[in-house]
Amino acid sequence: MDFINAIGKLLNESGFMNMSWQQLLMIIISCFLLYLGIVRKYEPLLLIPIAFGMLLTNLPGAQMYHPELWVDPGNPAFKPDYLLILQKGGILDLFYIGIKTGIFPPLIFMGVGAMNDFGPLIANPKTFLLGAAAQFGIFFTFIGAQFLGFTALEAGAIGIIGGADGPTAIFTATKLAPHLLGAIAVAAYSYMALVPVIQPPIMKLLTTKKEREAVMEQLRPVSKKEKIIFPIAVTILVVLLIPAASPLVGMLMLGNLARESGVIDRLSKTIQNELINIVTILLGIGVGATATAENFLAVETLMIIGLGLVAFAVGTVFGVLFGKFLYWITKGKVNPLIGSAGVSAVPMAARVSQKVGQEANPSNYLLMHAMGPNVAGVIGSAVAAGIMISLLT
Amino acid sequence: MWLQSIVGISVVFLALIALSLFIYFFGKVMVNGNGKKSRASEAIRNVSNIQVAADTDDDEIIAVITAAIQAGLRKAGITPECKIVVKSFKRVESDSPVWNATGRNEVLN
Repeated sequence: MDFINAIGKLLNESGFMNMSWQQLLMIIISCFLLYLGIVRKYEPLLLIPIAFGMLLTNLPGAQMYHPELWVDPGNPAFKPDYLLILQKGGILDLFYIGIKTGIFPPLIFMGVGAMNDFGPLIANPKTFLLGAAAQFGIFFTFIGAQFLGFTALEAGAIGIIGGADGPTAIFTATKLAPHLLGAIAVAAYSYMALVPVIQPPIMKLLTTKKEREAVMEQLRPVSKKEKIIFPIAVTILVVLLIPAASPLVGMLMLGNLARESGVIDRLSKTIQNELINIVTILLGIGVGATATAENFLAVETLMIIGLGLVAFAVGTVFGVLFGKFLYWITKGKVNPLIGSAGVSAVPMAARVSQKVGQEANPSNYLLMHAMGPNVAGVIGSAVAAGIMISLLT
Repeated sequence: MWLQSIVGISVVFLALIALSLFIYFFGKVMVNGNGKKSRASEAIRNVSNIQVAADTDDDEIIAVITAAIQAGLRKAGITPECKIVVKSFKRVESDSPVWNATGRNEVLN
């Protein structure tokens, strides 16, 4: 009899007996996201860890993540007790510390800075404006989300999806609306993967064939000295102007300086390979862990996914419109298609500009030109995130 | 809400306009400071990149290189009357990808 009791006890404690339909649905959703990452290759580097984190957090009994340690739905001013988390938390709670305390997103940004060449932006500084124009999507969605009933803090976090920058969206969400982090991260990374689907129709709709055919003259060569001074100057200017943007912009520029200075190649290599890879894994799993059934299976998630699309599309629209404005004032020297790259999503958005430009004029090479607004968009969305955080908190 | 959005997007623009102006003027200073030198060295570098067949006479190559540098300098509008003597030359490995070189050859021929 003892034997049967023991088996019965084991069965009762197993996850199968304790699973709610919501958790089952979340497991199906995370498997679907894994499918999107593995088979469809939608930003697999992040989507796979995120989806796996979602899977782990929704398996009942696993106890790897404890939402009650992090947020109290009834008390917005709740502050997590890190000592308690270290004592009682599961492994995903421990990973999440790095996100909640704002360590991982800036480290990813350091890697992004070390991987990107800001040369095209330095050679053509007016493309900075395209990177600013594409941030309209953020503020447009910020207003739209409040009309749909989100609080100002939540709306700010949702709007940043329009910056098309995963780490920025995650950084902002943990500061403004941590309970929406899972949905915001999934929306941000899905839309970044969908850039080649979302942007071209908007770009074609807003430009004439003549504008798309515009050929841009070759960029001037940028000296090493300029490339070294750029990250230092940007850091000083931006951090003085918007201190809240300093973690993201500071680390982005440190990464870039490591790359351009040429004297710390070892550090530069680590930043753009091992460090960013390790942090990506921890960040992805930690973000996925917050997508528990009670958090994720809500009407708000669908609304966030919808609003994310709006943010993205509006950002693209304003980028292209501002590109048209530059086309007009430079009398055709700027191809408006590079405007859409201002949403960041490096380097996918620049590739889309190149592809659409080449469809209109096969001898047109916009890629390097589009990299200017593209990297400006990274700086722009970090600045916008800093502004959101300092305006709302 | 509206005010926050307007302030927000204005500050984004302000910050990026400030950066863009800084980079623009900084670039101007850099190009003016090094402009002539870099254009001249560019011309010379381009000339020295010309591939030389291994079996031709050295004097002939020197003559060709001298002429090419003169032509390059004149075309760039730099010191048209300067006298130069090529004392030595060495072949520089092409640093551009093979596809770029093929593309250039196609345009030239």
